[in-house]
Amino acid sequence: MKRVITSLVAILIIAGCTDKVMSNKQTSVHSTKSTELQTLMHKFDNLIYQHYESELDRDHKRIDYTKDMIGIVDELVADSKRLKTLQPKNLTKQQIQGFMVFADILEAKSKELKLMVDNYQTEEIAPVITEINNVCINCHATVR
Amino acid sequence: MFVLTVMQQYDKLVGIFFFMPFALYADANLTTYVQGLEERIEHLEKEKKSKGILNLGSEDTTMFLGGKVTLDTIYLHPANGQNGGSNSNDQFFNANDIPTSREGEESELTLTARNSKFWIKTRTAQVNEKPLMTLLEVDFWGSSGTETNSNSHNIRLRHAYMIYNGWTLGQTNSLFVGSSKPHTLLAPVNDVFMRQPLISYAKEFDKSRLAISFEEPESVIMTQDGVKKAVNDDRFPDVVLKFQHNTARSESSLSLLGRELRIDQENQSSITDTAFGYGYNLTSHIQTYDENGFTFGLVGGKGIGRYMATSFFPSAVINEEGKLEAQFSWGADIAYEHWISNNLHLNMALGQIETDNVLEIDSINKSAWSGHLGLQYNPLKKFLLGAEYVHGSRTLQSDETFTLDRLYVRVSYNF
Repeated sequence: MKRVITSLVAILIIAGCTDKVMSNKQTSVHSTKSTELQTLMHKFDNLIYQHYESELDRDHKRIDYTKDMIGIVDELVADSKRLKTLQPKNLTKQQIQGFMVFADILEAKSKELKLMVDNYQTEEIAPVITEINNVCINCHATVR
Repeated sequence: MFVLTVMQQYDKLVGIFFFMPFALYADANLTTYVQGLEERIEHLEKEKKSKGILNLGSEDTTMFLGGKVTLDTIYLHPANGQNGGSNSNDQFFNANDIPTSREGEESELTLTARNSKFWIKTRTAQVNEKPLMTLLEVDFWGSSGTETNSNSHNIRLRHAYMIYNGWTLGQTNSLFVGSSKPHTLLAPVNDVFMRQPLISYAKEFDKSRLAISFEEPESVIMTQDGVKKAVNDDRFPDVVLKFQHNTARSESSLSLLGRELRIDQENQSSITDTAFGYGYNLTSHIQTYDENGFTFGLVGGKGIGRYMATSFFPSAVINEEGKLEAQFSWGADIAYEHWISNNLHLNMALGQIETDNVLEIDSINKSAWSGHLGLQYNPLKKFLLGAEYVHGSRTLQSDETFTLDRLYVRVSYNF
């Protein structure tokens, strides 16, 4: 519930934002990373259909994919947080604040994933990936 | 407004008078009731500590159950033909299942749920180390029931192993098995498959993994009259070294195998001899764009025998001089996976195997190939609906060729 409210707050803060809020270069990097993340999420989901492997083999791949996802999420977070220091002219304070809220949620989720990877809690990873996906969807729906 | 308030108060007064005796009665029993509750909470706390109804060996162990329920419907042309039997050879697919006679077996239909699986996984937390993990997995490809009444197929052990601190101990897939395989429902004929007891140690690097294993030895030998036999005369474990490397767009592995093949006066024969076998298996999956991608596999060596194509070729033969000689064989595959939408993908694969036969016998296997074309659809999460057409061809030393065509329809749900 808290997460939903936080996401809603973020959406409200940057609602109405239809301008290009990132530079072309940033948008391109962001878009590439988002696609890579989506592909990894999809690969993660489809591991269960690799019937030649054992469940622990699949767990091993889940850990590998999650590590890659953490890397991408961290890059996306760092990229978004850069906006705070750069303070681009085409962004209002509110818009930057909105990004920061989404970035903070992603950062928290990334930390959660790291903990799960360290403890090999492979069964707990999928729900967090869904939450990350929801943050991405909400942010994209609001900004793009 | 005033009247309404009085009426509301009146209601309350009536309620108090009406329920007072019950309230007093309840009050009298309140202490007993609370005591009961406290006892229940204490009992529940104890239950929580013992992890519910499953009393596991360790408080730090968590157990997970999973598996899948599968139904395969297969149309065969031709079939292998086992009257009233299990029809396992009609349900599995490998080069051995391509029949060399099609009399009375032109086209048949078979259904099976034997690909259903069940696994139990445990994880035990360790202080400052990775957890100790175990897996026990079974399917229903044990001894076959008949199709006439109940299809009562027996459970079969697939995996039973533990992983701790880089060590893998127990029965699982051999390290010679590649880390990338075609995503078709059925593996092409060159499939490198081996599940056996082993002891292995793996060292993880950033994007790579290096592992060595000592695995159960078993020599499949062909006698001078062309009969394949699994002889139990081995003295040393098969040794496998495997290197895996992943990048953002690829997953590759290279496995190297070394083994001693041995026969020791098997079946009253006077021959006692050994031969050295070796092999390599290179696999790679390369993403083209998004999740679409190619999978490649190349396997070969002298004496690899049972590690490829379910012992379609022998590891070694007893040659004309009566000596054990490792036989060279190789296999390759190429596959492509294309995602049409987020839950629908197309798979195609081609696989080929061949050997340099030491013996000149017409009826022994020389080569085989298979082509696969299929669609897989996931209407729900963890639910698979797939259809795959398979064409297989098998050539004997005499150059006689036999073919088969099969259509597989699979429905499965992973729980």
